[in-house]
Amino acid sequence: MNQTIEILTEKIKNEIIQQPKRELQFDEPLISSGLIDSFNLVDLALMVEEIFGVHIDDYELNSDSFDTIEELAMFIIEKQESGIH
Amino acid sequence: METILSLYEKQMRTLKGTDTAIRWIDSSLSCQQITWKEIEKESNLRADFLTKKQCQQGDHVFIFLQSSPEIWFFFLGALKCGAVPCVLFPNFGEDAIRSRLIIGKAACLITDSSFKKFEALFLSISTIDAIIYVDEAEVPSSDNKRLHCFHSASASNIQHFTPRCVNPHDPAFMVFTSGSTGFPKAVIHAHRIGESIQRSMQQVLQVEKHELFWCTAHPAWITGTVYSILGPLLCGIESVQYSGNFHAKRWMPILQDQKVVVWYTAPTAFRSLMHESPEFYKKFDFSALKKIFSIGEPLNPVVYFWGKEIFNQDIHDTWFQTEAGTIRIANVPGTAIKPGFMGKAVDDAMPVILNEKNQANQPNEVGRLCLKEGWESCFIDYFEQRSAFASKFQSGFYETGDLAYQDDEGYFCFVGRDDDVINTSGHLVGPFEVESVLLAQDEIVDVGVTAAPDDLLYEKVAAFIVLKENIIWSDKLESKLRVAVTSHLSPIATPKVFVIVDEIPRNNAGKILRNVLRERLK
Repeated sequence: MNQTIEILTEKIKNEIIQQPKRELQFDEPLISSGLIDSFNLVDLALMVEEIFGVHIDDYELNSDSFDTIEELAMFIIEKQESGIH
Repeated sequence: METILSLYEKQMRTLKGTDTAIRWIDSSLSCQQITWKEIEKESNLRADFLTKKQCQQGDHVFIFLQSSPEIWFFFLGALKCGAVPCVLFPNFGEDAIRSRLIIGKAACLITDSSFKKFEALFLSISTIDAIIYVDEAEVPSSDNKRLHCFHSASASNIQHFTPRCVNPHDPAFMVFTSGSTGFPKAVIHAHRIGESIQRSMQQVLQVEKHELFWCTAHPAWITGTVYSILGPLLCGIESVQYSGNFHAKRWMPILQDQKVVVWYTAPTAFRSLMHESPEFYKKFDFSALKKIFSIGEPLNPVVYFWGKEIFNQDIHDTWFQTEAGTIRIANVPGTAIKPGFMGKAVDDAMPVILNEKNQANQPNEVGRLCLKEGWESCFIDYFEQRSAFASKFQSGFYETGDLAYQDDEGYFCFVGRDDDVINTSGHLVGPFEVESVLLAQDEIVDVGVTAAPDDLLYEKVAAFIVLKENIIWSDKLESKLRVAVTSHLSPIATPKVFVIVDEIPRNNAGKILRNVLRERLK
């Protein structure tokens, strides 16, 4: 879990929101705060698929499914464990 | 004069029912073909269902659904009932939904799995007689008598529904727009708009029969209601609809694989597509694409030249607004384009640039962009706000709220807004709504919201904030405020910039001096 959070934090800072110097907390809202907006939601899904082999459907790309890095990590791990990739 | 329904019925008589009307593309880019016969049948089923649930002529039917063909079926079904459909954005927060349902006096609400999230809100709206739930996978547990589940498979198997008789001046549909002050206004369009929609599809967008058309606008936007839903239906044109999120890696395969011929989208989308390298686009074959149009914000010359290089086509800028109904100014294919200019008057539009004395300006002088009264697709009212409607018309001219100039060859150039409305990626955001949400936060004493220039969005929402004593600004607080606006209104309205100040500049009457705030952002 911690490793997944670390990877996600780095990738989101550097590649998705492109603010490498920003402090990003694991419990900070990403989607509902607009930090990740509609223009980079698909980039987030593509990044998760590439690194973790987990597919996120568009209907899951909203703050009701996951909103923080911690929740996203849980979401990924649950999908990995259930075999739904 | 025709109505939307009479024009649709005329088209239906000329079309082969088994031909495809809509290519519905999902986020995995798989395509579902919906035929004209299916559109007719499915809309009839829903019209019949709405009628049985006491939907009356003139009732306001709100459609709050995730992007799906159901929006098309219920929109047309409501029209056939003589009702007035209104589509809401699926990512609206609770305040945005509540204000629109109340202002628009919703009589019927079509919804899906969002019901669970907004159940208490929906049930609190006393004007709503029927809430129709359309998600077959998950049935709500509520036993409220106003809640009805619609399952197309189990609906009465009617093939025919006799549409209620409407006349051209009857209300047809409603779209919300934001103003400088107060809550959003419900713009009502009449059935007479139908002929104007047909003309702009044929003469401005120049979509020929058997050409595939893709308007990327969501139906909650006027462009989506008019050109994603109604334009193709009234002209018998096959269209693409895509229900997934925006991304170059999704949109470009759609353009290529579906062989889209006429594409109508927004400058923000183009500017976002420009982030991909030219090499990315070389992988695609855009040879089917013949005409590209843009709407929503000014089309920067740099975007025009980028489009010319990538797609080997001109991007034709167009202009209209919710109240105008159909395209009023455009660069029409076949005429010379001046990059950065919106084009010339089209259809029955008579745009003029007026000065402060309400006299026509000389060429190249900036003034208020107005439309001479009397065009066919003009809105007929702001619902139950007659004085606001009347105030938009002065001396025979409709005030658009835009500033522009016309050059000596007749081309119009947009300069900016003449009011405080924020145009962010083509969506109008009223500062008042955002300020209301922020003022309700415990940490804030005063707030002023305005537009800040943005390379991608054209304008972004900026909030000037006065914090309460002993409150310290932090990333956490910023995040909290952003979440508040997103959850109450929508992601579009969420401020991208926060500026902490000691006081908000106001005039003697207490009105926020937004021009002063805008200056500080430059």
